[in-house]
Amino acid sequence: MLRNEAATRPDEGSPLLQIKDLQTHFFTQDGVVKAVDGVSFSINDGRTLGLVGESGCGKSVTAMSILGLISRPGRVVSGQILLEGRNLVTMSDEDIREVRGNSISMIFQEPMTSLNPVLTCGDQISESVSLHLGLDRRAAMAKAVEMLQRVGISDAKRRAREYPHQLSGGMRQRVMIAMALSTNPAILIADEPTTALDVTIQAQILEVMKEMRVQNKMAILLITHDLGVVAEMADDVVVMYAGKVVEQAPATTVFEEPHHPYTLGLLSSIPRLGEHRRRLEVIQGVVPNPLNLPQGCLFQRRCRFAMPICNVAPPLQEVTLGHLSRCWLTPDGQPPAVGANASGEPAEAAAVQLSVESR
Amino acid sequence: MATYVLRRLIQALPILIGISVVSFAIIHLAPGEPTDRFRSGRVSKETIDNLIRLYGLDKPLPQQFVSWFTAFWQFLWRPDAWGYSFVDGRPVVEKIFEKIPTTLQLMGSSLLVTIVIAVPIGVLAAVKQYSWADKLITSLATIAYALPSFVLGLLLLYVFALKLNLFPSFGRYTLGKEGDPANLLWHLALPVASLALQQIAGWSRYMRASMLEVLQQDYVRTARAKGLSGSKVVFKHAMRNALIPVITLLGLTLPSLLGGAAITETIFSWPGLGLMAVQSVTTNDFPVVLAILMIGGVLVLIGNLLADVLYGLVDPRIKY
Amino acid sequence: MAAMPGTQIAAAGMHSGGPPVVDEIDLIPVRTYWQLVRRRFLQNRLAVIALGLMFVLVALSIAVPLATGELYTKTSLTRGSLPPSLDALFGTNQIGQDMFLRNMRALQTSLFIGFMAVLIIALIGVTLGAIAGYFGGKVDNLIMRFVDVILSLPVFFMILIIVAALGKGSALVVVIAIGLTGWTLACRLVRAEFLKMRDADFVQAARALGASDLRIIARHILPSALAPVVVAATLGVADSVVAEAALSFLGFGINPPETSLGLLLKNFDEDLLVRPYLLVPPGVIIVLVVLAASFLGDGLRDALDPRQRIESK
Repeated sequence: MLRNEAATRPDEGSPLLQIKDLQTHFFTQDGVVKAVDGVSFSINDGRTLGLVGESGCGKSVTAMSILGLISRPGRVVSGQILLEGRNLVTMSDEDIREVRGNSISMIFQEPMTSLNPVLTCGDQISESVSLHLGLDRRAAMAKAVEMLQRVGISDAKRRAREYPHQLSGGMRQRVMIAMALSTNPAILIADEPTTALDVTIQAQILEVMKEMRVQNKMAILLITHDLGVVAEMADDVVVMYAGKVVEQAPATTVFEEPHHPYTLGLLSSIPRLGEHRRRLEVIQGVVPNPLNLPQGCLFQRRCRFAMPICNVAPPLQEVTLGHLSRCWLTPDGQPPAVGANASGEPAEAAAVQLSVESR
Repeated sequence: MATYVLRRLIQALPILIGISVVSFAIIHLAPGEPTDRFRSGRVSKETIDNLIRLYGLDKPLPQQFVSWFTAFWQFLWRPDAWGYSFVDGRPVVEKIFEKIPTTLQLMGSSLLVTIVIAVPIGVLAAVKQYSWADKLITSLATIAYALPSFVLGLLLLYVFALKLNLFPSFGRYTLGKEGDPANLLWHLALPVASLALQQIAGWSRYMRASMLEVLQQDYVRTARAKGLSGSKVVFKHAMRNALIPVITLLGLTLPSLLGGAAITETIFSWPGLGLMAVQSVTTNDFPVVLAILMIGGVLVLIGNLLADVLYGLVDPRIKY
Repeated sequence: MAAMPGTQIAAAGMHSGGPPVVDEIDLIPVRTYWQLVRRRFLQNRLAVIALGLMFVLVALSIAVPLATGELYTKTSLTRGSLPPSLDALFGTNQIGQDMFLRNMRALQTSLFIGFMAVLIIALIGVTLGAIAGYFGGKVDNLIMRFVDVILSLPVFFMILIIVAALGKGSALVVVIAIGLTGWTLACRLVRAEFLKMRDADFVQAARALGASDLRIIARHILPSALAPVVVAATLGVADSVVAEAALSFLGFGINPPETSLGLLLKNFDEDLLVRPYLLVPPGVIIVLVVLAASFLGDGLRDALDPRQRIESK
């Protein structure tokens, strides 16, 4: 009655989707861009993972890598993407097509341009259905109409015959969701699903996604730069910066005890109701040029806590149990004792340096 | 749909009048009285009187235009609506309608060959961007685009008609085989090739560019993320969208085909409107010239109208 | 002094990567627009080759006739219909004229007509395009409908008729005929640029300062709208050379004893059978001119506006 998990999974504890040391690089005329540089994380059954970062940090490239949709000049250089133990990276083209839209579906940021303008909404949904579920035309169309109803589109029969340009942005995103979920996928990748929408529509779309999450018992990889959306949806959070994971923890931990200064910066740049703040803080500076990454910690130029040791790249290390951070600061946010470092300076010296630089 | 066509027709009306004015003006560019040009030995007195009456040549220019314009549209029931040829005195309506099918044969075949060849190779080049196939297609298209139809025509004539003797060098039918479709196709081969090659080059480049743009669109990514096969993504999702802008080329191609026909028909002695146009300009046969210019403009307008209708059929975003 | 902790720390900072505030990413040298254009153009191998080819063609067309004077008209009864040899590179025609010299003279005439026609095209196109784009409204509508009319007429017929009406055989008439019919593309491009710029901040500022329309058009908008015209003009040279060749080919262009590339092909009926080698050089030269001009135009477009590169490639 339950899914035969023992057959599909090597061992009980292994996650639904596991990404191990993923490297996706773009070989441009001007040099190699390491858009994703050693990213690892995993998603468990029915969980929602928020992948957070500024635009250009590699979060969308990670998503596209999962589905094998990276095209020239980009390429997954190394690493593993394991879906229930099967490595998607080394899969044949035919096999990964069976995964796309079936086990893993994806919805995109731009509902206005993500639907084909010359095909009706019903056609576009039923295409997925007949491809993966093997239904005939009529059954597939019936399923499409049913899906449209389930994502809250009224008069679904008529809407199914309409073209995307006849629908509003929010409606189109609902169609995208209906299309993605029509095959009952185990994982939904949602790449900035609400960014292009009005605030009120955003809330509705999130509501639809929550409902569908319960109904379909699926896992969600939610890609966003909006921590508000993460707070609402996610169980776990991975924060990316310049192609690397900088912090990873359960959502509550990230919001209550953020460790990495970048995460801190992201959190303090969202407005909160009822809090009296002088002004919203912004993270100074810009993301480093991906063709010319600095030495050491990639965030140090924008970091309030930058210190000499930051010229050495920090590893992603455990702060507390299940909470990883790529920063030299101690778990309680203090500058580390640099005794182990070559210069042999005591901790106070590092602290002095810190105060000098943070002026 | 019917109202859409009607609206487009009404919108075309000012253009039509513009075409008439420009045609009329160009004919009157030549210095001297318009009647002077008719006083050639070959033209009979009554032909000239007829023309003067028809065009109101003794009246001021605007009136001449009006009488010519109103006369022009009576061609269905008035054989003298377009006047008489200075050269042989035959009604121009008759002379031209005789040649229209011949020219449409040449132009239609060229257009058909162009589309059938250019669209697939444009798609192929885009899908396999930077591959050897793409590079070959792009380079050949560039060279073909630089080959003027008369240079290409001469080359084809020399190689395939004179040296290899595979195709006839002139005419529409072999003597005694008039009406035989196979014979017609055999005669069409070289003129169509010389007229179509440059068009194929242009269309395939355009198709490639359009396809490349569409392939970058979000909805193509969506189609791929659905797990569709490469061919489904290309033909069902991308190509239909890429064809939409290419339809515009239909309207733009007709005038250049018509102009190209003048040269191609001359080289291959294809008895069509183009050859007649060149001959009538050479012999100052102005009634014929004027009529051909107008017919050309009207043909192009009809072509554009067809393209518009096609647009509406292919692109659901266009409202009738 | 070395014992002071402060300096030591600063030294340590220096040691491990220099003063930390300086950001070498920001030190990418700033290039002006034209430097970038030049760099992009020079990176395009085909465009550079095309520029070289165009240069060679123009140089030949000037130098050879200049050095040999009227020799290209010289006939010789004893040297008729010679195939190409070291003596006469492209052979001789039936009346013994040296075809190398005639081809070079023809190239000169054809290029001259091509460039002059483009000058007229640019003049009409820029003027009408600027007026339409700048003033908009009814004026724009009128001009654009006129463009539609010209685009609907078979251009080559019109050129034929204009030449026939104004008098066959004159280079000037050919230039005028091609110029009068070929300006629509330049006009549309300039209009589009003007429509874009008309409400730009710097134009508003100039208007607020009381600049006249003419001054705004000529001083403020036109310079930035010229890039597409340069491209259209370069491509127009190819079209004009072909149009002239076609005209002369049909006997409407240049008359003997002068010559042009199209005229050299005119006698094809007989030449194909008897002297096919006479038809090769003019055909090849026409193709070279067209190739050079179109690659040059494409290269300029890519260099002037990198955005379009993505669209066209």
